[in-house]
Amino acid sequence: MSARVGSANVGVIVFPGTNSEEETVRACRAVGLEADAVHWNAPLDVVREYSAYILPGGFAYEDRVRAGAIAAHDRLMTAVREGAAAGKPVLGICNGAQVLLETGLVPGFAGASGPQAGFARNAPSGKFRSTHVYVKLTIPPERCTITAALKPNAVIPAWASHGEGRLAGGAATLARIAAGDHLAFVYSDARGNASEAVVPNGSALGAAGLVNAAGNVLALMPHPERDAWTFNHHDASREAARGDAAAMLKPSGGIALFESFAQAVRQWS
Amino acid sequence: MQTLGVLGVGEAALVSSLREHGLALKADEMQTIAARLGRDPTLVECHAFDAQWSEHCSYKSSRVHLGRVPTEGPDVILGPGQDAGIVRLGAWQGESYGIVVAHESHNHPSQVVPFEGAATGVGGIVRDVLCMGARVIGLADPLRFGPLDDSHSRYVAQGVVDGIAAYGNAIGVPTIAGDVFFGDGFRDNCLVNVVALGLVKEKDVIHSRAPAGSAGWDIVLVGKATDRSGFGGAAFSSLVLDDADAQANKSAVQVPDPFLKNVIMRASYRAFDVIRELGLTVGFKDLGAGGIMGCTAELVASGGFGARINLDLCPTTQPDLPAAVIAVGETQERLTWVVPPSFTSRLLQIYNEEFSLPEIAQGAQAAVIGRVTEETEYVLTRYGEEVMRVPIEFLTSGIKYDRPYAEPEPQIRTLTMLVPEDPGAAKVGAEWGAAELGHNSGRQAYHNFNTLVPFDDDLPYRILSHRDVCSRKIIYERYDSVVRGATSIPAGYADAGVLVPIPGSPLAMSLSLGGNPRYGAIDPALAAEHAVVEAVCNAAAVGARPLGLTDCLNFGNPENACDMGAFVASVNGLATAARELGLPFVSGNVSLYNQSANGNSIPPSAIVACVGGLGDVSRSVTPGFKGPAHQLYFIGEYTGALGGSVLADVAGLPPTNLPNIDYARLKKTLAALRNGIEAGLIYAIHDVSDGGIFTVIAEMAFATIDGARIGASVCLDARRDGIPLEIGEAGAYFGEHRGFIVEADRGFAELLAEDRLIGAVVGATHHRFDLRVGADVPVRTWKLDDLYESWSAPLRDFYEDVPA
Amino acid sequence: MVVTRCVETTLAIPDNEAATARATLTRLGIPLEALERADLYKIEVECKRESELLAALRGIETIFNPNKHRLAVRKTDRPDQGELWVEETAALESDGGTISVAGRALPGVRRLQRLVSWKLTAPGGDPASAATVARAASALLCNAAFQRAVFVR
Repeated sequence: MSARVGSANVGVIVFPGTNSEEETVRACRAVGLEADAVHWNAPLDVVREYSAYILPGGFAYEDRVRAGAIAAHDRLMTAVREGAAAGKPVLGICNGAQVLLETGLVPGFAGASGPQAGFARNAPSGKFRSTHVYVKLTIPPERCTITAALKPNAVIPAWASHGEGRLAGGAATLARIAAGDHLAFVYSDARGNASEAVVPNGSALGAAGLVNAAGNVLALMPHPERDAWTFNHHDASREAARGDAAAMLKPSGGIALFESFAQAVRQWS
Repeated sequence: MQTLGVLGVGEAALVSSLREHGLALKADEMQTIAARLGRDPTLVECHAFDAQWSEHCSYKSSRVHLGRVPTEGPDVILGPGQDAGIVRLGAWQGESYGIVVAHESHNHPSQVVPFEGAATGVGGIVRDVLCMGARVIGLADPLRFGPLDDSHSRYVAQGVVDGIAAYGNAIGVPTIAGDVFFGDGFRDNCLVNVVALGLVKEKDVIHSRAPAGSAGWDIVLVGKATDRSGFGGAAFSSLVLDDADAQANKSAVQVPDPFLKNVIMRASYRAFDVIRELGLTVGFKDLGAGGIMGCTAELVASGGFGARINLDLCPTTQPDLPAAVIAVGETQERLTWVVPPSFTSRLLQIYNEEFSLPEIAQGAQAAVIGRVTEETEYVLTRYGEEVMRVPIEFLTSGIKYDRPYAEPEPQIRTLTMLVPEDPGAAKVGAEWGAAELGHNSGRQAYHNFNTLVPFDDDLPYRILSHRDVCSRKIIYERYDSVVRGATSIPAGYADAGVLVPIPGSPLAMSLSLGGNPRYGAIDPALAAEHAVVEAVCNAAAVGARPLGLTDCLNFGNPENACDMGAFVASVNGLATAARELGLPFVSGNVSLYNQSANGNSIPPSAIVACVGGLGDVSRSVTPGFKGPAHQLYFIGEYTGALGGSVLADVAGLPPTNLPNIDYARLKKTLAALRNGIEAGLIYAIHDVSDGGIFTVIAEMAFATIDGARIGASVCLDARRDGIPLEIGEAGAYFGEHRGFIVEADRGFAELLAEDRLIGAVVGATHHRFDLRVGADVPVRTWKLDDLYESWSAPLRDFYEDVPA
Repeated sequence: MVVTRCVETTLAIPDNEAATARATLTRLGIPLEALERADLYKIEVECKRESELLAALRGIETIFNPNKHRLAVRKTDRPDQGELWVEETAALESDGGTISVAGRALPGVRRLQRLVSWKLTAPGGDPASAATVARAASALLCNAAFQRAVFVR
């Protein structure tokens, strides 16, 4: 918990109710980063030492009030806010993405305080849904430090596993998100074709991920860390690894986002 | 102190005072208790025995029969008897790893309050696995509901799925398998069974008993503050339900808190680490039926000790909760430790400070509530007074009944008996190689059946849209099947779910289910055998070797000789199949009294789960077609029996006999699969079950990867394949033959050639998205898009139709 | 004749959500004496079927489980002083058919809207002022991007 904090070290923040810290730490380590699960009772000074932060998936504080709403005001978020302001890479996945929108760090319009948009209950079912998806990078990679090492229009496999992932906001807000290059990822098919049919939750703009104005804070609803090893996949890569244990255990697919994240972390630190 | 008058009280007066106090114990049972104690029992004692001697806790009707099931084997680390069983998965980096598996039902609560009943079912099973010192890594849910045109069944089917989703998703444990069947027999009693899996190093197993030399050690209660919810739960689950009971019993259902559980699990993992560092031996057990009393009594009794518990020290949500409620109430999210006093403060610090339980839920905490004693008495105190003092062995060993039972008479009517010889019928129906058939009687039966149940163009749609065949995707998607990132095959992707539980290791494990209620209604014993075989075949279909089994035996009223007979027959069936296949049962559960007030019992439902192991996850197999121009094989055994099949249901046939199981042939079939996988010849496997070969091939096409649209042609030939003629053409394609459809290379044929009986090529994949049947030109063709719509619509429409 | 009824369910067991929200508001500089949360169902129902409706609602455990909920019909269909109603989803409107919730049909219901109600009590025991309610809404209780706050101004 109070592990020595190295230079390229990622703090994976664990709130009460977080449930994806293990696979997130594992994905970070697979791309050569040091990473710790940082518990909600950790001293703030220790948390401040990290070079980057990931807010992982789960149900922080039981989604009390709203998904992400209580965690957005958690003591540890002071360190995350300061880090974000200083330019540290901050990645929120699923519940972590909800927290980032509730803090207002994303989309982080100039002069705004508090949330400008939100991830609302899925439409039309209103229910939790867990389904395999692909997300396509829709910004120039260098627009966001965390995506900078991805190829333009990169397509990444992931699992959408959430009950509240529908980007919602006023018409003006949505227009501003689209116009200001905040729309980092949209849902697509495996070949990168975006259409309404592949959006699992009714999200406005088909949005799967948003980036802040400064380009160092990324909120991504689907989980690339749950499709980050060949044995997680159900595509040709799994078939290609048939009978080859080493190939089956290799990081691939969703790990691409973490590889790019790792470059951002190293550049910052 | 309040006591219940028993000694010298007449039977009628005793019966009415038992009812008045909400006690389910029978008058004679209460008399036995008072006689042994030599005095009238206190009210707390009454409630304690009521819980501890309930069917739910004591297995009083079932115990005499359960011993017949095999429980030992080379892969067993821990057999039945504690909160969960453990099978050996394999070794990695010098450590031997075990898979913990527990299997339970939460049927009665789920019928009354579906959401919370199902959620607390998941919550309870997770604690059973956790308390073995394991990480909880997977869940599965076999469900049985009434028909969806019944309004309460719809309500139950909605609420149960929502409840499982709400709990499993929040605690962050993936749901990797499940099944759902619908039927009239489950209208008044749904079945909600739950299976949970854990991972533990063999040397790190914690037992649910007070360790040797633990007299004087602390008993520490962890979790939610005790409240009024869940009072009378154990007795409730052993009652026959009527509507008035259902209303009154809502308060016997506990209130789940998956969020608190998430934190308790993580805090317990931390405690495990510290305990291992310190090299301590401790006891850990979950609170289920019988609450604090049931848990602590069993924990110390299994170590040969007694206990003294001070109820004043148990955290409660309100002051002055009655002693009986604190003692036996089944408030959720609680566990108990037995630890040496030197470790107690550290343990409390982990839960209360490091993981701040009291800040997470009001009243939640870890607290010392009593201690283990050398004397073999179980003592509870309240406000300084002993409210319970009983010999612990008398309390925990319960009672045992050998209830009278009537052996079921299985339905043995065969199809040939069902279809009378009708010379006129021979002229009707499709020609299907009939001209080449040598023997006239078979040919006659064949034509007769084709007349009765023709394989017309509409039949595939009727089968694929059948309630027990159609896609379950809309349900699986409600569950998080990939949290923890260790899922290789999620629920709904194959016949079994597969996890890669140890990071960096190629060791993988599978979890699969079996148990067909349509079979249970016809022949409980053979249905139980099929349940085992189905679970084992489902494991084999993903490439796993079965390691161990668990069962949940869901039956009607044991005081009814027919229901009891079905139970006994099912236990025998499970034992037969397990012995034939050389597999042990390592854990299990019995749920009786699944009967409504008007006397309707559920169909006999032995539900089996199979834990399988794969030495190398790269040898796992999925059912989707991998490419065109691959051969399709059927390997297994064609049956001449259609009893219990979806085809029989769709055709409205009266009940006929179930398929027999040829174990020698089954073992050869499983060996052929393993050899094919080992030789790298196999692309895809799908177990043949509900809906038969046609359905299985369609499902393999639906599961094709990367959106490739690959179809297949298939031709079954009665003479070539040795298909019994009396099932006709429809029976050949839709009968539930025990076996597999395998997509493989040509080399697989050579491998099979060594034993021609096992299987043969029945078709091939191709590059058009259709399914073609028959050898004649033109073949009959169904568009897979149309079949897919028919298959995916029924449950999708039901579950999407309902506003949140 | 159609009447509007406001049915409110509150937790009879400790409300951890309200406790956490209150602690968070305190940290955000909005101390409260008490904070209570309720689920509200604003329902337009045919007069003669009102009692049937209440019975139906009492039969839906996720709305009303006697184990943990209290259910009451409010006197008015507007928030009182100190109350904040948060509206997120659009109302369900009957197009002639029945409206159902959790698989159960609700008899005689023409329109149903779900809201969350927060009752804020200021230090000292009085209902919180409109200004305090507004601050609590924007600080935590309502995300204006997709929720609407309703309170007495």
